[in-house]
Amino acid sequence: MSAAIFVQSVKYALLRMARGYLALLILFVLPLALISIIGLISAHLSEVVANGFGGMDYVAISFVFAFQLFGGAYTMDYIKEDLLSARRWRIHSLPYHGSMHAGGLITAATLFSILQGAALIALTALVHGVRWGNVGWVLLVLFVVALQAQLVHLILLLAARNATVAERLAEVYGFGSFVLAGFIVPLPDNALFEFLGSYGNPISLAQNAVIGRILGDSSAHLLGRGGSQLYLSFGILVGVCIVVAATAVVVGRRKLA
Amino acid sequence: MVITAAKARMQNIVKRYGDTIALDNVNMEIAEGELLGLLGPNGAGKTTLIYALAGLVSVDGGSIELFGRPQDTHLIEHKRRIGLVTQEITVFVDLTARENLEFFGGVYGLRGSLLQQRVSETLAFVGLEERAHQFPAKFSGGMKRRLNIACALVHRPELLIMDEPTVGIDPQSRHHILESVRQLRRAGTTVLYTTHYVEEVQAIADRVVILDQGNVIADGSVADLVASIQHEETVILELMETVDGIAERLGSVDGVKQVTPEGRRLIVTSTAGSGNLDRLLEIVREAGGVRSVQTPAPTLEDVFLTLTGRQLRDPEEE
Repeated sequence: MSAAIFVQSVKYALLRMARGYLALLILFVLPLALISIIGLISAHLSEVVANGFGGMDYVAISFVFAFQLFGGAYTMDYIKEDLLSARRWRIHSLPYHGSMHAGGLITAATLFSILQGAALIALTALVHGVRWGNVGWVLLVLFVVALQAQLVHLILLLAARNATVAERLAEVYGFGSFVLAGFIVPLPDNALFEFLGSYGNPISLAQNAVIGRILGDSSAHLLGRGGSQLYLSFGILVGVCIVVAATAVVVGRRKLA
Repeated sequence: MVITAAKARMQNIVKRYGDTIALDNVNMEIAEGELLGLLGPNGAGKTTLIYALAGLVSVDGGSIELFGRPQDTHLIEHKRRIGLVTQEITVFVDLTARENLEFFGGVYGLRGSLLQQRVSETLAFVGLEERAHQFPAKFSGGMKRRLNIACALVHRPELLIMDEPTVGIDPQSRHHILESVRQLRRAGTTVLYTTHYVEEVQAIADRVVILDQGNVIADGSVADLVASIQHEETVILELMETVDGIAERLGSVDGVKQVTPEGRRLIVTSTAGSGNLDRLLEIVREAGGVRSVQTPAPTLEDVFLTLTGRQLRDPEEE
């Protein structure tokens, strides 16, 4: 009975998300456009070309994971709508625990975000010939990054004073990761920023895991670190995910009960 | 109507929000098959009371029993047997009317053809079968309200709790909703209907509980509650033309306490049961004739006014 209700929650949440056209535009169409434009420009830059790995490959891999961080907005929006607005009375009047509905929303948001990422991976591979390497590994990394983003957004929503503050903090999380990954400006040349730029943000960790797997030690040319760091990077991603999941459970019990 | 047993019983319920006492030792029973109207001004504690009954807010004191069992140990089972119509419209705007009902029906355990049948029946019941595949954003306020009600009905609850279900809608939709509630009651559903609209409660309720500032101040049938405050009778006489000295002549009739002239209209207040209407009519006929006679019956509004000294509804809401 509970499993069936959970599946029901996930199914209808996915249906609702599929109808959120603005979010689809921002999280699917926009990265596709950016990858196409910036990828084509950087395809000829020598510093991102090595061992047959081109600028388009680098840009596509970076942007697909970067936009996963903003996919956490699905969890934030739907939890806010269903469990922190007037609708919460309706949801809490149903014969199941509100946490099951929250779990359904987070699961649906993670799946939907992964689906968007997977569609971007397929499209960039087909249209731009992007090298993604082992698809199973890429999807695994995608799953961990997507889940982490959903949980971080959930924690921000539940811990912040109000939803507006939570949304601003989520932007700091997303754009902060962009900055630390070196997307916007070059980072200062010192040990702290070297570490943050390599292991201190989910975009770099995902890049390490995926590009390291494709290029092996040749990735040192591109990432400044060898392919042997891919498991360390993936391990950090998983570890952070476990920590945020535990935090989400604690905060969720307090705020959504 | 056959009332067999209590569907719900709340005893000495206390609920505080900080220093504010929202419910102050409230006792209330809802009998099986009954349509109970819960009446009170905004802020009286109606929503807190029904949310406590539905297990949505914890209480600071007292006990709640539903379907013969304590609420705290049988909450999920109780929720399966209750339908809650929230005051605000809480349907999913990104699901069609049909999908909304499929979702809520599914959560209550309905599956397959039974679910589809119930969804179709419920949409027909609230008059939305033609709109089944449309999104609520395209609905009028009244249609959204009806969908809001349908979401609480799809699993056929034994106890339907309705929190101000007609706020802000057109008279036609209000009529439709009230007629639907009557039908549900005839079909045996126990209904707790909260509102601050006196006329709705008078029109549909078997029994009325009046709540004010967290206290139950009256409990009984509409007729009993009105009778309990009926110490006076009022007759409004509209004369064919103004007549000098008529107020004094009417004032001298046995039982008359006060005569208030308003142009050609005379408002005559007498002691209840004085039986002086024939004599009053005789006097005005002799004085030139009467255009109309009204004997306005007291309403629950008058009951509330008598008990609290305040109007039930904020005049700005009119």
